Amino acid sequence: MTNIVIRSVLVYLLLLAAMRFMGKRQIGEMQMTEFITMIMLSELAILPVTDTDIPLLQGIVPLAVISSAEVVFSFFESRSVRFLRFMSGNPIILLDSGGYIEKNLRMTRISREDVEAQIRTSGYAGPDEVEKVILERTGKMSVLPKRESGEVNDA
Amino acid sequence: MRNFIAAVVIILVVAGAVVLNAAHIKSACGELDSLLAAGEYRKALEKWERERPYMAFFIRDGEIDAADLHLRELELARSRNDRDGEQEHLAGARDALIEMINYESVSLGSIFCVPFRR
Repeated sequence: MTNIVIRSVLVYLLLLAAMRFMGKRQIGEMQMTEFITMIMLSELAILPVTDTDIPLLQGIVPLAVISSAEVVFSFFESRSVRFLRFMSGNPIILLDSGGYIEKNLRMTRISREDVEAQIRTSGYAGPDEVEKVILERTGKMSVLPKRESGEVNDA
Repeated sequence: MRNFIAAVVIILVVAGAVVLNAAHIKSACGELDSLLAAGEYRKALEKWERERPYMAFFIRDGEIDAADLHLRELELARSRNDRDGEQEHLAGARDALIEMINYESVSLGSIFCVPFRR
């Protein structure tokens, strides 16, 4: 039991260090690579905590490698638009000038109701008040008002 | 930029360490297996006792304990002239060593398949 407690603390501190190293402050704004990294880190980190038969290094090494890979990928994403598009895709326009783009809605499996809910959340009554709704790489929807509305809101 | 360089260094160091570690473990297990095959049980046990602390950092406790048990029992079986026990523990020790070698080996089988365990 003592080993489990010590391992828990060690793994927790290592995870904190990994998050700090990756530099993510807004966990809600994750790109695809970051989301995958978070899932893998949480699964890998807990293994040596719950199973003392596994050497601690078998949790630490993958944690270090995945964190480092995420830093490398995000570095190239910040330097190359082409690489960013390859890794995380492009923002997708769901609504333009009041009209839904059905092909994009089907491709993203997002319904009109979802889009309208996001429009209302952004403070607009309906699609008629909105210029564009864009599905960003992070999976969030941005609502851009018509020019006469005078405000720009991000989702 | 600093974090990027640190990340690249970490990846390279880990890759190098993994390769060296795999080579060392496979070499050590290979030597142990050769000693067992030659009937040098005492020497094999002494070498195992030198290598075990290092291997314990990288190999599951269950596998370390299995090899440890068979190697110790092997020496005891020989001293008691227990032929059956000697054969059993010799096979067990060699299987355990082969398991460790396979654990450090990279192949399509080791990546995609669960290793066969007796």
